[in-house]
Amino acid sequence: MADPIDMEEGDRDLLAAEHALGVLEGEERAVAQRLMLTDQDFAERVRWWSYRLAGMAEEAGTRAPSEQVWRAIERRLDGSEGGEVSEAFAPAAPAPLSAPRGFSGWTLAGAMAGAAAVAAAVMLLVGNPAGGPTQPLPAPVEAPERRLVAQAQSEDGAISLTSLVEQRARRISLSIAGLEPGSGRAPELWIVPAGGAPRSLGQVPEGGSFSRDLTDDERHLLVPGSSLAVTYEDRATIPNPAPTGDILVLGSLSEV
Amino acid sequence: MTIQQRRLELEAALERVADGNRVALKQVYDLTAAKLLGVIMRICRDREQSEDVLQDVYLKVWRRAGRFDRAKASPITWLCAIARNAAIDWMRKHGRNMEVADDTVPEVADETADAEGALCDAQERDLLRRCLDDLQDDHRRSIRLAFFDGLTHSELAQAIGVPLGTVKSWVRRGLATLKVCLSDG
Repeated sequence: MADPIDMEEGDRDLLAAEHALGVLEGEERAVAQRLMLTDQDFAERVRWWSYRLAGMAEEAGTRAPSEQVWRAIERRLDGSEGGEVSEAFAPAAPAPLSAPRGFSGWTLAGAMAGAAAVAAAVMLLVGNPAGGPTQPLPAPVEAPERRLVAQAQSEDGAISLTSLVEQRARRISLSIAGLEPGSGRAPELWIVPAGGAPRSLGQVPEGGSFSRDLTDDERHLLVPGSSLAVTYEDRATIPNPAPTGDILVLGSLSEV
Repeated sequence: MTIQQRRLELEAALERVADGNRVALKQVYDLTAAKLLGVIMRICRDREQSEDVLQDVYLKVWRRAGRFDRAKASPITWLCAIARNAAIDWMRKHGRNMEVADDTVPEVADETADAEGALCDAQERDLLRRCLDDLQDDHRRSIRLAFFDGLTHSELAQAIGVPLGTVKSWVRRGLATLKVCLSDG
């Protein structure tokens, strides 16, 4: 299909309508999911359509739920508020230091190294703002590592993200600050391939420097031109098949 | 209670849910659970699975109530959209239980639809109904099937028994006409 940027306004709106209706599949669905994440206007259109179409739901009729549904909801609410925790609704670990389980493998273990690597890569990318001598690159031992960096800030500058991808080491490092997801919600990191559907990299901590290993699939998506993005999502449903929250920061990867 | 009163009550309850008030969540549940289960069961069919999805929906409502924007949607519309999306996500992840009998989707709106339990803004609903009624039969049928059963383009083509290109064009032209009609009021 046509590049979304070249699409005429009417086509964009129809794509939004089809996405809201849920009929899209394959490539078209991937394009729509990507636009949901990167294009505020498109996301608004999808919401507009999904509310208009939801008016039809009135005809679906009513079905009284059985008594146990509300009781189950209450149990799950208790679980999420610190009481008995059901497996399906286990809240993520409150502090990354104690148990990184909720963060899809993000750990502090390599954090110092990760933070230093991110800092070094950023120096390379932005130069030395103080005007002092530039830090020398550590000499590569074997074949040169392919390193990609993404840097992003929210419009108001409150949220910042810097990430370093080391292709050979299969490692991604992340420095992040300013996230405030609110109760029950958590930041989710996304790879947004150029022209592809966003793919979750899982929940990330709200601040600090972290790193984790990459799977082969993830590594192949983390190439120059792809972007990294963060949204707030329901803590319980991460990793999500597609983002639902507004995009907070978006930065494209470039080689350093 | 009139539709308008129910709507206001629901809006007020949603606001309290946003503040973390569980009694208000129960109130939202009592006002809307039967309606949302109706929406979910049209898509998932199986009652037990649908009730699981219904649980998820109210947990989402609990967490997302702060994001409800009354300028963009009526409360029941917002809730129905969450329920429908949750049902579709669930079905695409787990597959639909095809052994459950398929009650056919009416091809035109059922005029006798439960007015007593209606929560939608009457004006909003009448406009949508009028605009849908104005569509060509094939276009309306495809859109309604997609909406109520949560079908994709190729599933629609299979269900109706026409080529994929035909059904895509029906849906597109139907939605384009709908847009003009809804925007003109």
